[in-house]
Amino acid sequence: MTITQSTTETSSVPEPVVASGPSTLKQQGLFFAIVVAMFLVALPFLPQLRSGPYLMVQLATYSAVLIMALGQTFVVVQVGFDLSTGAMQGFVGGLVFLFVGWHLADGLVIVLSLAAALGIGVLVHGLLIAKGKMNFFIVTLASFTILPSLLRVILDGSSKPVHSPALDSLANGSVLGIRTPVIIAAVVFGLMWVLLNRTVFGRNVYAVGSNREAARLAGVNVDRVTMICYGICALCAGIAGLLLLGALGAADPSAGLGNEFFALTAVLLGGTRFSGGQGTLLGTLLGLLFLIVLSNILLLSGMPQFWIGAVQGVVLLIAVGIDRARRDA
Amino acid sequence: MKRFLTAPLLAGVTALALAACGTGSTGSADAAGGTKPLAEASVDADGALAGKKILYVDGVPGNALLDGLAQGLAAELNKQGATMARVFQLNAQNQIDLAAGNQRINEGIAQGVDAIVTFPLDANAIRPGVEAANAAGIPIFTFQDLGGLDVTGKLKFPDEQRGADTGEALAEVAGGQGEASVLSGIPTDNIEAAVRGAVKGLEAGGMKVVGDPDNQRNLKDDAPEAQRVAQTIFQKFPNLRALVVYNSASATGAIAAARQAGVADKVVIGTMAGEDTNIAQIEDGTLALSYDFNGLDYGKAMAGLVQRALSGEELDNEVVEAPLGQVYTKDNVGDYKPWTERQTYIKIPSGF
Repeated sequence: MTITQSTTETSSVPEPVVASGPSTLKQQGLFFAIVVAMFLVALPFLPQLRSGPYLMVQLATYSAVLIMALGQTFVVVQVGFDLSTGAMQGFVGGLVFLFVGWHLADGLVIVLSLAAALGIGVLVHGLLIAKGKMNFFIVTLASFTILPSLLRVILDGSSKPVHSPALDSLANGSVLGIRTPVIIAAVVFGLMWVLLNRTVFGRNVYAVGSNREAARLAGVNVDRVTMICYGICALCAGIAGLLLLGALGAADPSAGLGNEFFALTAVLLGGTRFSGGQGTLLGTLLGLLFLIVLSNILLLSGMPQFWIGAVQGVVLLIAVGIDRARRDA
Repeated sequence: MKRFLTAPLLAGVTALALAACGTGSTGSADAAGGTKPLAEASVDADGALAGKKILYVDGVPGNALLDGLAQGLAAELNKQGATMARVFQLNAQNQIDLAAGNQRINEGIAQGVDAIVTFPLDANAIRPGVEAANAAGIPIFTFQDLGGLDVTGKLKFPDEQRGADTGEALAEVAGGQGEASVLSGIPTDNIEAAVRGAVKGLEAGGMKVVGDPDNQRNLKDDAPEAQRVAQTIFQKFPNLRALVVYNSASATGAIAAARQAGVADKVVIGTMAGEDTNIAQIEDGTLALSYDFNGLDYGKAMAGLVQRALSGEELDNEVVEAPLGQVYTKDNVGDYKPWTERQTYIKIPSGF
């Protein structure tokens, strides 16, 4: 028997174990305080951090990673991980290079590129994982290797300049002193927050992540939720790809690679659990802010560059370890 | 099952078709940024090296600089009557693999090639392969003079000199005073030498070098990472006037960073290893200069070394200096010709 469900039938869906309850809010408040404290402690030693324009540049630079991390949060909450988001970010740059070469209008270039990303997320990742019952790691690992390879084919192995006034203004413009990538990230954050916290679909994402079988028995179309989550994740990576391309003014054959781990680090630091059902977008935002502040402190203080990745990794282990110990206590 | 596998299959085929439509995977970039098909190799059957088989163990495919070396080498060897096959140091997953160079060399030895040329990615990693070629009595040559490898001959890159030329030229563009810095790359011998040269060149040009290149590296060798590193440099040194970067992707990243930091009109940027992309950046005013080290000439110089050995000359760790390149700025950018227009690029086979 197949259970199907309309959006009006979701009253039977169990409440998610943790979405944004008081304990989560308290935890995030504490995390925010830690980020602010780190920043304040560093201020006297690193005068650069007192520069408003510098901070705005930092926020603009990491806006693309934030958008990517927001999409990844959906996937992790419903139990999974998309290894290919960085590859997708670069691949979309290659698609834009193609479309611009075909002299398509900028708007159409953007729509087609994002549609391709969404299509890959839903129809390849989502479908193979949800309906094909293939392991999410295997499916996205395949994309992690296929997309960069296709990108190199498209770009013939070397970076290519891309002239797109629309993407240029999206990535490098500003409105009332606020850089456009920051505004775009804020808008995406708002939309994603509403989607995850104020819609039936969002409740279903938590329900699927908490207990897949229970959600299925409660009438949730689990496969559809999974497919949409991978679609959102790929779409977010696509948006991040457009911002990266616009900032660089060029499509780069290795663009985006490695960003998937940076974004995932932010997601996990923000309290989202790999086991699913728990996590918030605000947590992801705080996780990324923490990483940005930490990276800046390390870089500006002159710490040897070779050590920075190690420090970030150790911080992740400590943060997740503390979180785990606290929950187990 | 069939129904839901159709969609991903279609999506995959579409993506592949899209990719194939817009690529020059069988061609070379031309001046307009498009591609033109590769020509068939033409081997002079009456040349001095007629019938000789040369294996070139290259680094990675799709790199404009490496392509230039290979094309220069193949053209000159073909002219002498030799055939050349080009293979790469990649593993089964098509990823760069330092150990794969040894495997390629051993495959060449098994095929009975007459000489092997290699572009070592790491001197220690390729050493067993070099020793195997020596043991088999097959002349082996390396691009770059790395790590004391015991080879028949090597083409030494003038890395420190190109760094110095770039630094000095950029100092001149910047007015010969103020602060300058260097954005380095992955710590390989040739990058370290070029960075040393750049520091000397900037200082010789009257600039004060600030920051530590050892701690200002684009370790991912791509534009986004260069952008992040350059942002830090611009922030740490707000009075910076000039920035030398080590390659093309780093130039693209540094340009983006300068623009984002609002210092694009204050800081001049130059690259020590430019590509056609950088020439376009000079033309649009975002890049001050690009050092073109003409890989085609490097390839030809290596072919000369191979010819000497195969013609009977006794060579043992013979070192030949590669020719110097040229700095392009807005003043002479009009004279620049893409490598693909300096010489017809040919299809180089991957086997004999």
